[in-house]
Amino acid sequence: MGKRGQRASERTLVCVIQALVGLELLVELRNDLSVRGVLDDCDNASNVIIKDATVEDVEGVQRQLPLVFLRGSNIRFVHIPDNVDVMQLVEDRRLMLDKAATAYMGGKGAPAPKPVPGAGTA
Amino acid sequence: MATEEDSAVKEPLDLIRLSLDERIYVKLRSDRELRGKLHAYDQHLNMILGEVEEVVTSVEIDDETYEEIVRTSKRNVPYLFVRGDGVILVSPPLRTS
Repeated sequence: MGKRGQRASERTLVCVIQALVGLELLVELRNDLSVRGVLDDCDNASNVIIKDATVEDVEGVQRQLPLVFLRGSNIRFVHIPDNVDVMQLVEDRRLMLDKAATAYMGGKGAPAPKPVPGAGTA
Repeated sequence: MATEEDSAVKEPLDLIRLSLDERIYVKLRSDRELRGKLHAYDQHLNMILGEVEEVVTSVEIDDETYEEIVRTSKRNVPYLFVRGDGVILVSPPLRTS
């Protein structure tokens, strides 16, 4: 199996959620609540921050919350908008992080080449 | 072309790799089942599924007759990230007779 870069996030599918930062999506929780809003941040444990959130329960009751922190272990599903090219977003994010890392090193080195498309996991 | 990809089946996760881009059946906790096309997975069994049908099964007991009423509700989602800690099993779609 191919090794996906140096970052822990790139060895799991969390990098996909991280690539969706800035997009509006729907997160379903294990307690049957669903949170729709703009994804502000996602860490390696898939803890997320959602802005301008609408929280809906099974009965359909909605609440507006400007800022929500959601522990990743409570997530059941993340509905990904189907009008985006997820692969491209993941690659864009990888390039951005690599460029930021090399800039930190005074510009030496270059972004790592795009990993050979392979199956599944590291 | 696929120099990094080892097509030998060595561990259970490799069996899932054989189902990439195929339709699969996933049994989840909380009496849920998914059928969809497997786009990606990882070692935690986080998955990305496309064109998913989710079936939620609930059993109610009638107050008077005490019989079990099994209800299922279905919905479709075009593109779904499934967190791996909810996954029980993964399989090629079951053939319903």
